Amino acid sequence: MGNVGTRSARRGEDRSGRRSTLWRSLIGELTPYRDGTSARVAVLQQLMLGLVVLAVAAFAIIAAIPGDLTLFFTGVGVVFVLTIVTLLVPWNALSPWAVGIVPVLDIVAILLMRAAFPESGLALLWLFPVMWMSGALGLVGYIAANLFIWVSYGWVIAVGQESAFSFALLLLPIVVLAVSTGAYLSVRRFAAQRKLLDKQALVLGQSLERTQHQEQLVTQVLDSVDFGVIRISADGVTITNEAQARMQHALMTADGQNRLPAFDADGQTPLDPERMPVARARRGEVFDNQIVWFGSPDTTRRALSVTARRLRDTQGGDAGVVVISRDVTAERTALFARDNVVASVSHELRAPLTAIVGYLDLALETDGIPEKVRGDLDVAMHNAERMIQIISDILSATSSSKSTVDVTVSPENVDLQRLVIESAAAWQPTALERRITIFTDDVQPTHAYVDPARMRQVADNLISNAIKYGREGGSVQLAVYGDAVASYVLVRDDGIGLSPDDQNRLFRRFFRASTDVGGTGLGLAICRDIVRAHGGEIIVGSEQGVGTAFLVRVPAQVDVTLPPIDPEEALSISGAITTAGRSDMEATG
Amino acid sequence: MTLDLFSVNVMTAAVVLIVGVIYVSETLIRRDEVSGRHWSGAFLAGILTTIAYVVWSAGGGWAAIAAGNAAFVAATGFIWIGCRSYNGNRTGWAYATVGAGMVIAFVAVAAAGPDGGDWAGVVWMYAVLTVLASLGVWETARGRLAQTRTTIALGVVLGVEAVYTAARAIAFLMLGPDDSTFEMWFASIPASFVTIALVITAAIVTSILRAGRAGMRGYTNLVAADGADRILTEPQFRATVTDVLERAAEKGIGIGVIAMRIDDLPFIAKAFGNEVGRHVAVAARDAVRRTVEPLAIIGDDGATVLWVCDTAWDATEARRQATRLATAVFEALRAVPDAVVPVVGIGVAVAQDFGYSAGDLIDAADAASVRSAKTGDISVLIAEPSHPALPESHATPVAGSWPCRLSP
Repeated sequence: MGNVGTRSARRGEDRSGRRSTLWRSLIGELTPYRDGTSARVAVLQQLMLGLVVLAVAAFAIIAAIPGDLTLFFTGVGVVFVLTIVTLLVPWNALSPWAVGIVPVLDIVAILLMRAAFPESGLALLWLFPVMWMSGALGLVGYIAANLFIWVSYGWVIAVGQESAFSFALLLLPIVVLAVSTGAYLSVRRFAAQRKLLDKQALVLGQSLERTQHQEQLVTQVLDSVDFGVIRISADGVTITNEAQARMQHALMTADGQNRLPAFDADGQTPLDPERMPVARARRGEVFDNQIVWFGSPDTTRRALSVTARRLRDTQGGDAGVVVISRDVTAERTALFARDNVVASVSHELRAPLTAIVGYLDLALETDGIPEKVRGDLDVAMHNAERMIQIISDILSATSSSKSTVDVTVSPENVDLQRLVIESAAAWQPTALERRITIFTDDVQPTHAYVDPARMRQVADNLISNAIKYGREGGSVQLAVYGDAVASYVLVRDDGIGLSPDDQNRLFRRFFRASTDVGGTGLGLAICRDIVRAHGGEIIVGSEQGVGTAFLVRVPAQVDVTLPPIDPEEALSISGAITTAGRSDMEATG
Repeated sequence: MTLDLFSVNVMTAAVVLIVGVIYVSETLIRRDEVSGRHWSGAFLAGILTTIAYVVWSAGGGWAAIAAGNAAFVAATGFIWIGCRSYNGNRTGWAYATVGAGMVIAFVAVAAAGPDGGDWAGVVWMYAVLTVLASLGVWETARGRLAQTRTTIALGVVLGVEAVYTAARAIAFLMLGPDDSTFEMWFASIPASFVTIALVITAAIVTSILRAGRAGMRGYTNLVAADGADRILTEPQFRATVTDVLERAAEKGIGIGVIAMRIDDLPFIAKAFGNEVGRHVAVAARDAVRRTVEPLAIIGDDGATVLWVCDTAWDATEARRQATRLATAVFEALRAVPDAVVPVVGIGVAVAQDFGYSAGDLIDAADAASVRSAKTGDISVLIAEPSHPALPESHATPVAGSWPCRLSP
């Protein structure tokens, strides 16, 4: 029951809805379309009629057609007066219906002219007012015009003395009907199109406004940030922001004509134009924090850190590159300053320490000192020597303004297996303190062309690190192997592992993964420099909670050039941990 | 030389007809403006007058004379009302005066009826004409009309009409229509000659006055109606910019030229009418004038381009000015009723990139505006020199701005 009730109610709604739609569309048809052109239409229509009537009047005068001249010229006069009135009345300010009075009076004027000369065919002039009314006044104008014409025409024929019935008599109202229908329909279509066009214009305008607003916002944001942004679109068009422009100005020579010369991260090596960040980005390279120095050494110079990223459009296609530049001059200068301070302090400390060691040595060589004192002197000696070692480490890491250490090596053929075993033996006591077992099963007989003292330094450093950062009670695995070209040393612990961030910064000077463990943060940096001085490479792989592995690759014999190393591959071959980092990741950092 | 009345009337009608039709169509095609419309009304009334007189001379009755006289009064009256509206004066009571004059002229003939003869009620008409023509003379001698020398001719025409009709009235009253002196100087045939002379002079003068309002180059262009907004013409603009650049170059001051084009303007005029086209043009001009710095130089090319020349150190600053301009013009164009928002192309060129040559700078801005217009929205394009001022700029970040700075 309820269902039926609802359905019938809905049907009722439908009907009333349909009725209101019909009503609305009827109202729409009845309302003349208003677009501010009615005055223009009126003037054009009326002037055209005026001109035609003028021509007809001239012809009537010249040809002296027999007929009621007074009636005829009254009609002509009315048309003229209407023309003047149409010209002068501001129709747009009046109701759209007001203009309708002109065509109605035109019809009457033409009626007078037609009545004056029944045979003239002047009734054809009715087409002008009828088209006008049908076009400008909508359905009402169309119907009214036709009705008016039919009635007046019928009346003229009825009262007038028409000679005989002819097709011409019948033709006129039909033509008027057809033409006015055409006019009405085309104006209706035009009005609909115009309405749609207006709406489209509105929509477009709004979206354009929105776009402009967003564009303005992006511009303002980009212009107010202090890092330079360059966007290179897929078709090579460059767009930059304000900060970039400022940076660009700052990088100009004093005369403003040329850009300052560019140097690599070390501040010394002139930078090849091919390696300029924007050139690289244009070639499609993606990179992080490339440091570029502008300005020759010993002048006021600036350092930029540049990062390039690819952009994707909404469809995931290539949308070019964005290059972000940061002025890191202050940061870089601070780093250099720190190095200088550390270097000079260390240098100042070394001289007195050498003296202390010398005198301790003398004291130890003195006979007859009590055993207790000798023990104390030994401790002092040991610590003083350790301090000298630290200071020389620091000095070697900071001895120049370059980011890499000056390491001199004197390579020779070395038994790498023995070297690593000896180093492991030396660290055995320390390992025992943390109950760590050092496995040397995989240390195979291998030779390498290295500086034995420097290589021992590397092995010591890596093994001591493995013990320091390894899990208490865990293990350190050592491996040495090689082929005709390269020899490898692998040191692996089962400690807490390194985060990807730490892996990236591991070889940076003064970097320390954990402040709980003592150290200068120079060991790995020095290791890297030593290995590189041999033409080798050191890589790290680590997984948090699983452990860390260091793989050192050095030449197996004299005069071999090692091919580039793929960290993942090298570590997986060595059976080490998966996530790999390379010591040059922070080469620029 | 013997001239019959009918031929003279036909000749007069021909002259008035041709002049009137040309004048009215010119008014509608070139510049629709209130005073122009009133003067058009005057010419239409003139045509009606001649038709009526032709009908009368062809044997029409008293009604033809009555209508002709009333139309004659209307013709002079509308010239006067046109002058009033040109001067910006109210026209309400002027209509009433002219209407009353027409009624007087018509009734004077009608009262005499069919037996009134050819000269029925003629003195009344002369009197009304003298009054209206005198009012016209007075109107031309004041307000904005007095500022233009061309108006003197119109004043003289109306003055001659006033004096001549007054003389006709006096001669008619004193001598009567059959007197030989009256026939020699004041009858219909000499009056027709005077009419022809007056019509031609009036048409020329009012055409010039109307053109002064409409602008000589048509009004669907970005050209002001009467140059009232003080935007320079192309030669003036180029000369001024040349001078400015010369002085700026000495001091090393940056100068930028912005070109704004609305190529769709003629289409808007075609689609929505000349009046709407003019509104769009005026809106754009006004927006430009209101947005740019007060001392900036603004010029137009007489068609669809407006230029702005102002100080701009670099492309960034010029771009900012142009963007502000684009936004203002867009807002102004959106506010124009009954029109669509046309495509506006805005191009910018700065002396920093193109040197201190007015021609190069304007041409570069123009070219950029053409490219901008092709992008289809309201965007600003910065002209890029083909030979960059910065060496190696292909490999380095190009100084500029986001997001409108473009460099290939």
